[in-house]
Amino acid sequence: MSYEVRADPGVSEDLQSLAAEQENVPADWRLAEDEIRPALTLAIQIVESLREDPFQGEPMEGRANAQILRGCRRLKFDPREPWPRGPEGRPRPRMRVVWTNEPDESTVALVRVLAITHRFDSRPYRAAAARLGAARRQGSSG
Amino acid sequence: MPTRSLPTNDARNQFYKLVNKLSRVRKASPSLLDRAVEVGPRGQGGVVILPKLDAEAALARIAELEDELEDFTLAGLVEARLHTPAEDLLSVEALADSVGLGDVLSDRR
Repeated sequence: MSYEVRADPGVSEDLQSLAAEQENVPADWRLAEDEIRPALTLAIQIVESLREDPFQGEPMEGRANAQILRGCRRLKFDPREPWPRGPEGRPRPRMRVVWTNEPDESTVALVRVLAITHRFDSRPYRAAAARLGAARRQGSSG
Repeated sequence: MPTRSLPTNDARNQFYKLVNKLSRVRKASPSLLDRAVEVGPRGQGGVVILPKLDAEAALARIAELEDELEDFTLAGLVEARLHTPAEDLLSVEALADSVGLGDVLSDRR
């Protein structure tokens, strides 16, 4: 059986910005220049593999501050072997593919790929900072 | 920093007692440095001795916070994208082509 897999246009931006984003990543976790293309290749291959198996990876719990992630799946990957280790010593791959099976996991009509990111992706913080800055400027001029 | 500090000579004299005490700990303290003892020449510190359990708990907490940070970041990206109309979504081929990696797809190899 083959499933229909489609990606949000933002995922293309995720991949295109991966190299530039690395300057905002803590040094220990940064993708080296020669790891960028292997990371992108792995990402595309994982997305393609969802056609055969959209149930791979782990279901996301959706913690208190991220409930919207409940129902999504995440697959962690890293172009480096062995995977880098986290502060507690466990292997911690640096990249993630996140998707959701729609309408639900028992009747999958569409596999929607939502994000492919580095585990330290600063774009949402910078976007929030920009929104805050704009709101403050609007407040001071109004 | 640790509240207790010992010059190296004093720490050497008390070493077995100190190690016995810290290794008997069975429950992690709320703070990494609660039970830590700083040791160094002339009482100036530089080395910290602490229960392994406290170090492990602190490292596990850092890992947990990193996971929470990651989820929070992902939530920011995913929230807007869940509502993208299906007709605007990209095929796998279009996604691969957008980053110049169409050749890695299995049916194009």
